Amino acid sequence: MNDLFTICKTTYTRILRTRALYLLLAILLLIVAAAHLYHDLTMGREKELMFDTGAVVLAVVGLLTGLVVVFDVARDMREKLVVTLLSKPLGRTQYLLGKFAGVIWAGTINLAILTAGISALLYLENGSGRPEFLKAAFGAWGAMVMATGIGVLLITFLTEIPAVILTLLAFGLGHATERLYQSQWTIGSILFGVLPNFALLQFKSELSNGLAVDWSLIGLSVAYACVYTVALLSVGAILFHRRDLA
Amino acid sequence: MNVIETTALTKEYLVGWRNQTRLLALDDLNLQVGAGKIFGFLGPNGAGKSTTIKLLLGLITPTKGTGTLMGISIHDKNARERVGFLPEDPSFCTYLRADEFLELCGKMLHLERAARRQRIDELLDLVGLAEKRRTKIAEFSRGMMQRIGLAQALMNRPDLVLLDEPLNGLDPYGRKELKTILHRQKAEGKTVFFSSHILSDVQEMCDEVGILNRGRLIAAGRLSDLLTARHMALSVPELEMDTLKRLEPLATSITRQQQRWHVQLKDPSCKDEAGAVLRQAGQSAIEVHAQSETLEEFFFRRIEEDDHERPVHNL
Repeated sequence: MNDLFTICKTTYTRILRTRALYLLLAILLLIVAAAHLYHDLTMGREKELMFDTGAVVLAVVGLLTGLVVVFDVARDMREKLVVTLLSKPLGRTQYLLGKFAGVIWAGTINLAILTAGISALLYLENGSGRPEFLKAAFGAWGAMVMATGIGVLLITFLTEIPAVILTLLAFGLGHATERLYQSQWTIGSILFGVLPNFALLQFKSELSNGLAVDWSLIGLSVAYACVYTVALLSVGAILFHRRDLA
Repeated sequence: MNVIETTALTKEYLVGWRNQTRLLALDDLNLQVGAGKIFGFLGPNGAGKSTTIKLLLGLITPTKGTGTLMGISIHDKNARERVGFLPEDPSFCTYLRADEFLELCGKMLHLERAARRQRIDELLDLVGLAEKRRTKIAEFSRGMMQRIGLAQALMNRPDLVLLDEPLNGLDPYGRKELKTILHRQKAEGKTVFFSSHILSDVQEMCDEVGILNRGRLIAAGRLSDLLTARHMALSVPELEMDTLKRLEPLATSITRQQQRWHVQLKDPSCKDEAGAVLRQAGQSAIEVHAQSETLEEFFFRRIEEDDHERPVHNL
């Protein structure tokens, strides 16, 4: 457990030392704040636009977190850190879970910063607090966990670029699983069963339009994301054990 | 007990996407390395040296065969408890400082905090990076990267140190320091196993060597046993023209220097025949120089012999 925590902390430190991250967070907050300027364009619905943009920004951060784990593991392999660490009595599963946990830790903090920032902007815009955004943030956290799980799974048997492309593809298709289910193709139904259902974790349409979303539904969706991620990590661990580390 | 022991260790890779072909990276390696030795692992590029080291560390899975490190199977992660490893051309955690990186390695080896801190100080001194302890690894030169790599490999005072091309990127001072460190390891009863292309250094440092060629171990043993007398020269004060002519077929060169004839024999086995020629002429050699084959000569000879015995197309 100590080894896992050490890898987790090192990964977290690496991400926090990336200066571009802070710039990115600032830019994302500015994008959300810019919704305030679109009063005429949105015919007075700039508050909804701000909520919607904020939710999209959280989803983007979730996706980026999934890509960060791909780049991070690939970099460890390139720098020969993986072989150096695994030449010590460290298990491959511990390494992989440590990476996952470190990226999730950093991602959670990023989401928390953005959620606090966007909530503050919404408060300024509305003149009162909107706890609904917290619900959207929980959904985004679930999506981030699942996207990171996909990234971990793919980088265990693929190289960097294909893993990035497939993570993006899974994220995109995962938002359209409902359409796949409704399609007439058999393959569509199979994909619906196998692909991660990111649409389950998106509540922005309902929430931005003032519809009620129960906390229990959000809890169930996040639980789905966690169970799906455990399955992804389990398969990833098996594949990583079989991988030849050059 | 051997520190390293492999039995029929074999690694085959499938190369290509559609028409996959088999690449035999290591073929039936049977190797024993005893304790307290410096073992040099040699071979041309692609011979299987790094593959062997990675197999020993469980980083890649053998196609067949097995091995042990200090009696523990290479598949068991506990086998790596008393092992230090330096990979070839590492770049490590470029975002960490030198001391932070060693701290990470110390934690992975489950060293106590106080012991870890003390060991980091010792190692940074040992590899000459004490003044760079707070410098980010990203700013390190290639030679400094090798030094920090060596430091992490020695973190747990390992009984076995596995080094993949440790001399790469080191300047002459660095190489000299590395040799001193490795000799010190040997003096402490540790075993050092390293691969290298720098044959003169290997000859200087190693007790035993192994030579791989296209995945197969073609020579292994003590250097003193492998490097037989290869060149022999005789010094004779006076030689008649007739005797010179009779010596010519046995010699690669006959020269006159400082009032003496120097006869460089083609082969040490010609010594008796040359002696008989001299005796018939009423002469005897006043000096016999026997020169052992250098490791470089031995290396090229064995590789050429193996290439002749196993032409490439037979693989």
